[in-house]
Amino acid sequence: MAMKDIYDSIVNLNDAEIVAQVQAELDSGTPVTSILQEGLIGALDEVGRRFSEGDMFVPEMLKAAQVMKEGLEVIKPLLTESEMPSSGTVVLGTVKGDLHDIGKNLVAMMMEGAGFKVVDMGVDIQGDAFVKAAGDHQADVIGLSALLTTTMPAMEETVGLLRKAGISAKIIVGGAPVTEGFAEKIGADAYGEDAPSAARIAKNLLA
Amino acid sequence: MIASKFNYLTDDQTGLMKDRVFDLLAEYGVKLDLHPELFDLLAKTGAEVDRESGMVKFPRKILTELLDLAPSAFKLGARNPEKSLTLPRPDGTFYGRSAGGCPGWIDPETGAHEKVTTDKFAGWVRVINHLDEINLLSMLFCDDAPVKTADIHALAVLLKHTDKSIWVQPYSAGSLDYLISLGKTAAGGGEELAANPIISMIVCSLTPRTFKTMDLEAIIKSARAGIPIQACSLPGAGGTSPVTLPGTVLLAAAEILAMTVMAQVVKPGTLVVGCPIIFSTDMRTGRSLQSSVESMRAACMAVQFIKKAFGLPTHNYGCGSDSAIVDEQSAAESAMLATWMAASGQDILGGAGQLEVATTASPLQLIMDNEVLAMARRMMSPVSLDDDQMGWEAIIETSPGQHFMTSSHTLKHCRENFNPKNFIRMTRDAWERDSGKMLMERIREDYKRIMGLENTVAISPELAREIDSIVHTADKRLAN
Repeated sequence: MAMKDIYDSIVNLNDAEIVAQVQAELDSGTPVTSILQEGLIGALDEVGRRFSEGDMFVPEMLKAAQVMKEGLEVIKPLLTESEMPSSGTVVLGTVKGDLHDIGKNLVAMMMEGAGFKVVDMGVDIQGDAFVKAAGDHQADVIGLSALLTTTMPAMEETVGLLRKAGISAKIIVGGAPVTEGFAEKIGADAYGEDAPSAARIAKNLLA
Repeated sequence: MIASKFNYLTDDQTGLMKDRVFDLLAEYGVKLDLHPELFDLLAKTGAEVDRESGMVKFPRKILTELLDLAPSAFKLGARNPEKSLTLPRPDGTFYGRSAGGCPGWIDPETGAHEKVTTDKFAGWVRVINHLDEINLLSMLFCDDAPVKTADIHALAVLLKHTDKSIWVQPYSAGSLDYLISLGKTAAGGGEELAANPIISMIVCSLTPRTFKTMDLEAIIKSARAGIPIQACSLPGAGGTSPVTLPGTVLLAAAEILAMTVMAQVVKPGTLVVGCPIIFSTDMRTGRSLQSSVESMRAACMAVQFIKKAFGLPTHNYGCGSDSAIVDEQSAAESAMLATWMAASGQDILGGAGQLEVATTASPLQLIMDNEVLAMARRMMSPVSLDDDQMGWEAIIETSPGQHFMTSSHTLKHCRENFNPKNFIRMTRDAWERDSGKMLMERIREDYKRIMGLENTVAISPELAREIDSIVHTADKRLAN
């Protein structure tokens, strides 16, 4: 059963044959949307379930997303725009004055794995650059990261600029010194205490 | 003499890793923010500098020659010279350092989670003045200080309230001159500071293999001012460094060596402490952990490697917990960390009083950690095998089946055992009669007792005014 093979490749983190398996399923006449929903997305949903139960870890989830993405590339040309899976667009960055990016990078990967289109602005990003990017990319979610206590004011400033500009995207903030209380205080929509929860929170905010 | 009681790495393994550290720095290099002055200095010594990309490679010969210039033994000074740290500690044990950088605070009376303020920080310092095992003080992040000069304000608090040695963490390149000026003022002048460095400066890599302008400036300015450098690499195994622990140790050691040789390039003989402050990444969430088994193992390896391969004194966490609260976990993790890091021969055990991966300070944890450090230090104390210590005469004099309680030998040594202050040794009945109080309650009472003690550390009003003047100037120029 080729569909099961596709599903298993993703769940078992096996990138060796995913492309061939998806192509084989296509060649056998299986509708593209079935391959997408039952094979690819279905498998990633199972990975997500296992992850949330602690049976799969972050690197494994990232690998599963990568395998799924490779399979998706095979059928992408055949999908209409409305059929393309997308959870939304996320603009991510580390705020002005802060050069740390490991947390942001993890969030970016988890967001992609969750089906978001990610615009990663990098580190040391001015508040007005976030405003521009949010408009340019029609962001659904904006993620702000800070590792240094000293750059948290830049996070507050950025949220203020986004609100003032009337950006309707949901704002999630995170990073080692950030707390839920701080997120509330500065008017963010949510606090992401780690990378996996950030992706989950983003989906919930847009639901 | 390395005062380690166990060895993670054999001599062969140390040699192998040292080869790899040299391979990494010589063939692949590190990336510096563009810094023409430092590039000039590095190029003159023979380092290969790509001035456009900032990549710097250090030929092996350069690494060996420059590392040889870094002293293996030296003092971190203190306003009270009797409280200086002689590294390595002559008795073969270690020194303790308080938590650093925490913005969060757990109120010792209510348990409420709050923000650190200048007043709270001053109180924290007053407590530390009465804790014998805390010899080096760090800055906490005071929420009521201007963000852009929070480091300067914190140092001012330390200089005013303690005469112990101080570990300075700059938050921006702009702060450096003010921090150094504060150090010079408190020491009595620039030459006095160099002769008795009451402050030492944190310099950090941005792992992997990157160095920011602020830290390069910190190296240059500290070296020229005669301020010891605490060369810190803070890798997160699995995140910013290899998930396998020797890989994380390799990367940390290479970054520390890079900082050490850069300091020697600026000023030969600059005092450097190697600080492999190692975290592991929780593979379930991506969060950094300081007290995981992985962090401890890697830190033990790194400490032993740096001491053996580089001959530098070492400093890392030796206390503290990933727990967000003061509880059984924070006690257990702190105790394990202290035990293992002490046993690996680390010279300064840092982080007393810190929780939630070094983001929260707790005075109660601090007092508990002080006691744990005391016990760990006793464990590390050198053993003598003379006849008195072996109790030879006592054994001979005590007939088979008799006891040693009344022997003159026991009388001579009976007060040498470690007697904890807050850990009890009562029976349950005695404990219930006494108070029935749990450890944290007893520590809370100890905290109140300490806070009621006279504050014997004071500076002259003139010095206080000079310090305030520097802070005020910094605020005007940086914070407005």
